[in-house]
Amino acid sequence: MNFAYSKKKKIFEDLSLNIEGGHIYGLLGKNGAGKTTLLKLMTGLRFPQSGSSTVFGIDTQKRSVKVLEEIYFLPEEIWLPDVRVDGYLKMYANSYPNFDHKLFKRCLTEFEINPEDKMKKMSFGQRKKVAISFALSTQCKILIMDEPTNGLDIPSKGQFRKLAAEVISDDRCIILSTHQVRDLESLIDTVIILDESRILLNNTIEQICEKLLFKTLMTLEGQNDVIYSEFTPMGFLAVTPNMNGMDSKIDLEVLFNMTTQNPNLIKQMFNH
Amino acid sequence: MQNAQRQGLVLIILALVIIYIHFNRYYFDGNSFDLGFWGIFVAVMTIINSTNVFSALLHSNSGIHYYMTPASIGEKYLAAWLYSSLFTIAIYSLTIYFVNLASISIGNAITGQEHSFVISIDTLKEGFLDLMFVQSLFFLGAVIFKKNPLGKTLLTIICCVFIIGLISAFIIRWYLMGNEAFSNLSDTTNYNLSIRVNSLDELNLPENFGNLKEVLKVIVFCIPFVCWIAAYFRLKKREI
Repeated sequence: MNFAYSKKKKIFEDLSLNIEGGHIYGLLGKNGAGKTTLLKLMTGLRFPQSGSSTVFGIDTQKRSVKVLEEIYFLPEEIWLPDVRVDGYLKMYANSYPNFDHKLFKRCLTEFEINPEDKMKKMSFGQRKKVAISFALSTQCKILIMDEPTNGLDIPSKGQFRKLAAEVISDDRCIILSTHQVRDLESLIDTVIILDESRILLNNTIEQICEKLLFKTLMTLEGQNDVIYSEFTPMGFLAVTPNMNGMDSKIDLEVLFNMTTQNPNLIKQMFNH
Repeated sequence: MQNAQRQGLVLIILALVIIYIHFNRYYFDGNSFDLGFWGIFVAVMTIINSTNVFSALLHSNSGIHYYMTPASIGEKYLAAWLYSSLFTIAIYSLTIYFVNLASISIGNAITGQEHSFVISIDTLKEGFLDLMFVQSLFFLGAVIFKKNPLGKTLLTIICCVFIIGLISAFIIRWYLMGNEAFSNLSDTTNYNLSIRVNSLDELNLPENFGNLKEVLKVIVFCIPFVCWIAAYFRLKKREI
């Protein structure tokens, strides 16, 4: 698809992306790269100039009930009506045919939210917890979350990871757009990196680790195979080609910086 | 405050004001109930509710919530249309009617005076059509304008009325100048005639001018339908 806000400001050119069930996607990109716009295009909230976004073969621009029942979009800045949590549940849960009331209750318990509390009196973080609990409980096939950990306290970030990992199944996927890569590093299994109106990387963690080795080096001297490095007080965070099929823990921040600084190298390595 | 509570509060205040007017009338010979004023009140409430019915679309986050809620655009549109038109007109008109009726019945019984409250069907019909006309304009404005829909709709209506008025004045003036019966009159007389254009029936105008009036009537009748259809397509194609 192609999308532009104006003739001068093109956001996406010939963008093509396929999202499959059973994955938790991490959508990464700089500020203004078009992450939120992409999510809006995917959900039919914005219309591309050419091309289309389809869910189960239905164009999302049609905003059909069948599609809306299977996509849940949680924006970064959430909006909730001025009602009690249980009132909100009564108002909206019936709209989702697979809504899991037990899971909603459990999420609220995990997040320490009282269902009888009025949302107007809650803090931003608490309202976000209610919205996350509702989003996970809808059991939608596609769950889209824009910066879900923004506003959450430290224990809640862990609880969110735990609950999100629980709801994933073969026919369900979660797309997380985030700058807080450290918060979600252990949750994401596929990385999509957006930069300058194109997708630089769209691969699973497994595929990335098969080709790249992430390690910490005290010095770069004599390390001729280093293709990218970052200096930290703990040493150099370095990336080398994984020639011997060794295991390493991916560092999403390093991967992101490396991808945006060496797009051609990444393109070459991952055949995009 | 939630919308239902807000509407309830307005209805309670409205009922109290009507009761006070009747109390004043029975015991202090105050002014009688003015139907025109209450008609304007219902019109104002219709404007407010029509403008606010798409308030979710004023902000990106609430707009996302609105569009992502699983319901078709037709259902969302119908809910908004019913709320801002029939529901609003009905709850305010019925409150005014029944509180009046109750106040007069009780007042007559207590004081022995004989007041009555009669509204003709024609008045109701005319009032209803006027309200629907007003509703359609502000309903469309609410979907079109992203910020300050009330102010922008009002401004658009004023501009349109001014432009239409100006064009009409030119057409009528041009027509009268071209008419033999008026061609010999001085400019001053023509000006005086142009002021009286709202009482066209008094003038002995040719038949085709009467046809123009009929065409205008049809256009005015069609405006609400055009607005409602335009609002539907705007809602369908609006982006967040």
